Amino acid sequence: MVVGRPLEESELVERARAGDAGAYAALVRGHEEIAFRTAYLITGNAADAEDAAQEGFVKAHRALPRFRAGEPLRPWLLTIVANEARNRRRSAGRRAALVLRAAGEERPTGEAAPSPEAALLAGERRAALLGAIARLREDDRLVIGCRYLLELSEAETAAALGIRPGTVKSRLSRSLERLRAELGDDDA
Amino acid sequence: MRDLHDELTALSVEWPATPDVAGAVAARLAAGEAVARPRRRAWRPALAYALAALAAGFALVMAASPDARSAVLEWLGLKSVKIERREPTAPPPRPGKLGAGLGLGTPATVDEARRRFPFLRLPAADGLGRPDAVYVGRLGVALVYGERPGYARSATTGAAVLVQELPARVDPFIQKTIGAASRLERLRVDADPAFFITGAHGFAYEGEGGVRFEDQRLAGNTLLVERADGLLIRVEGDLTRDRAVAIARSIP
Repeated sequence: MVVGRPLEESELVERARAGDAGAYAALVRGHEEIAFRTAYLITGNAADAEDAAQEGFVKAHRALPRFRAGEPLRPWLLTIVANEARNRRRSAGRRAALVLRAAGEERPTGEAAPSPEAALLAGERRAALLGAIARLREDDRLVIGCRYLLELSEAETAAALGIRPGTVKSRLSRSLERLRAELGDDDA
Repeated sequence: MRDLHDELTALSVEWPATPDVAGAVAARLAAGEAVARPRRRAWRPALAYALAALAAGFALVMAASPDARSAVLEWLGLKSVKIERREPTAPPPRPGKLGAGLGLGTPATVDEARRRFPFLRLPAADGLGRPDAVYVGRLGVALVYGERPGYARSATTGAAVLVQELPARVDPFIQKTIGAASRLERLRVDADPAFFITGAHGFAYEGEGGVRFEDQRLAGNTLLVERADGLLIRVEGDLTRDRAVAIARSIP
């Protein structure tokens, strides 16, 4: 169960639009992490991601009058921040290598705790998985990153990547095929 | 081999630490833009708080109705940004019992609380002593400790440590949904799964000029322990992880 926040958020949006700086700061605080991580996924660089997130939220503040009340705020913010991130990535020129490390533990799945050996193997497998994701081409990496690593919804993924919501699913399945192939090469 | 989808779903990434974007944005907006000044309100600040991010995502699994779940969240202070207006004026050193005004329930003695909730066990951590106030809520018990050597009081609540005990579980998906601006660390207290939450939970209040937001925390750090006996222990205060763990462990 996820406790809804729409009502409260819409109240903050309303206040922010009326010029309440504190309300806007509260909104930014609530979304800065997902915005920063999305930008990091795109730029592959923490400093650029921070810039992109900051610039994105400043622009979003200006654009608030155009935000349609009642719509979810997060995809709208992600669209703006991801755009900033893409601009930075383009101007950086070279392809930044995305560095991601697996956290020490898996997300809980409700299964029994693994043995130390199994945990070690699982750790290697996680590292291989992230390595393979990092070697994918950008489109594949981003759609997998948005859906699985950032756990964005299809709609949010579409917003972040600037693609139509209808294409997220098919793109994801093609990207997973290529990830499978990439992992297969690893095993050989 | 596990299905790739399942593996990816279970994969958890160490992201770089999230910088203080909100602070930087607020500073830029304040410097660069004349923000329309909101009209003054007739009534004065009222304390209100936001356990914003934190709250958004807590999932409690109980063999209970959605209403009961929602009540649990409320009692735990885990509701989403909640703006609570209180009547008038004046900075709030609260009159009356320590912890009054935190919405913890009805004041009670330890014995009364135990009659209502026989699971109640008092922590025996060094220097903690007896609780200064006990509250009985609909679903569990809250123990409030004032300032004492080694335990600093919170400027916002006046309390140093708050221990809550209730029969509940925190869903494993806590980590998926915990949301922005706070950090979640998974650990074990003895064999029981536990979560330590730090970072800006956020603190919003209705001030003269509208909603304000500060990084100051109402809750301080929070430790949640899901005990095998079915109790959910919540320890909150300006505590290090080790300190919070010591308190939770000292509950027999």
